[in-house]
Amino acid sequence: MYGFIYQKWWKILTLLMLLYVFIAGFLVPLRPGILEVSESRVVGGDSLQVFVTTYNTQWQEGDLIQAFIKYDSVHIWSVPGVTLQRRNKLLLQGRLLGWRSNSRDQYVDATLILHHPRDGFMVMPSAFTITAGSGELEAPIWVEQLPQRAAWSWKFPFRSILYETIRNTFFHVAIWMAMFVLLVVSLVYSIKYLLNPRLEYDAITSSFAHVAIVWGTMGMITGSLWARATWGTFWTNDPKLNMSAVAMMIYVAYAILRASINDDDRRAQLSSAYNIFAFMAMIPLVIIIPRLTSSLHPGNGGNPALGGEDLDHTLRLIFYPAVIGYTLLGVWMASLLYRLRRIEIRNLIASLQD
Amino acid sequence: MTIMSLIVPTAGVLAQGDHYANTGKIYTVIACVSVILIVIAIFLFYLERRIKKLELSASLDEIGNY
Repeated sequence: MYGFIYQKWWKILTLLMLLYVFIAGFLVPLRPGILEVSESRVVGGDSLQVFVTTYNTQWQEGDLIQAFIKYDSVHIWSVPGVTLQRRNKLLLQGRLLGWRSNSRDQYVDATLILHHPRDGFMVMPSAFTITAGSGELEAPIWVEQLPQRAAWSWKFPFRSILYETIRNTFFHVAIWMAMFVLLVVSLVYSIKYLLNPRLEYDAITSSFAHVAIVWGTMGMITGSLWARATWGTFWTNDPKLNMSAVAMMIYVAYAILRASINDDDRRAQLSSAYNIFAFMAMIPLVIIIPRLTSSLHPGNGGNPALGGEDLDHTLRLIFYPAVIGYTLLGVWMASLLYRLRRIEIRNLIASLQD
Repeated sequence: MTIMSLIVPTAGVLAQGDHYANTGKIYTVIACVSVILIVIAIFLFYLERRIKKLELSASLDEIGNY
């Protein structure tokens, strides 16, 4: 085990993995998608004239672009007039299919679907709010008549509000995952210290805990920047955000506790015991409480960081190497701290023996 | 912007004169990556300071031995 930290192969592996994550995380393009429609409130039966702005599309004159407005699972209207204005702008025209309210709702949230032979489908849920008008729904157009799906390609999913920040999956979420692994290692060695009080174990515990604090700080700052871009604020009173802040504070208190004790053995004993409590406090704060409350943060009712459909296959191909890469980088940093601490302990013992 | 368009293809798309600059929010991702690199740099400086302290004490010991 101790030989491991002196070996080079895993450090090179770490750097290669992170290099892959940083390059692929930036270079893989976003799938084309719909940014906005010029008018979202429309009346059934009226003539429709709406500009659609798309993202990451390089459409040219002569491309066969189809537009569909999906009222519900069976009523899909193919927009007759689709004119390409620019490579990322469409004009939709036609007499909007009517919608008769047969329930107490006076409007229907319709989905806009675009199809391009090369780019495949683009979907914007609730693009239109269609108020019941004079016209009537004609014979339903069935889903089977929609064009075929495009084949899988190296592209990240297009999500409204998130857009390019979906790449932060590798620069925010993966860092938190790596922090958990480091904290578990720290916990294991603090238990080992309490069973067998060797200062070496304490040095490992504290090294891993300190690097985990660094990782947590990174996770906080990147998360805050991400929140600014998606929720419009750096911090909100959200249980997941506040609880993770409290958990971080508990670990910062661990660092302060260590810094405030001069005696090596006493520091090791106290901080090892505290570390176990800190970990036990973190589990309900970060893993249990957020599952019981609602939150802006993704992953409600399940994994606190990621919802079931938050990771698609392309994201996974970069996300897992990112988690392993950050974890190994953390292990590398912690091992350097540990080696330094060991020399300091040896010097101290040598000076005591003089 | 030219350097950006070399590094980030999506920024290249933005650079083509759309008035939707940063619609895709790519700068947020760049800020996050910068944070990661800055924090790692701070860690390295911290490590160097501790090593320097050790080196100084070691050289003092050598002087003492002479």
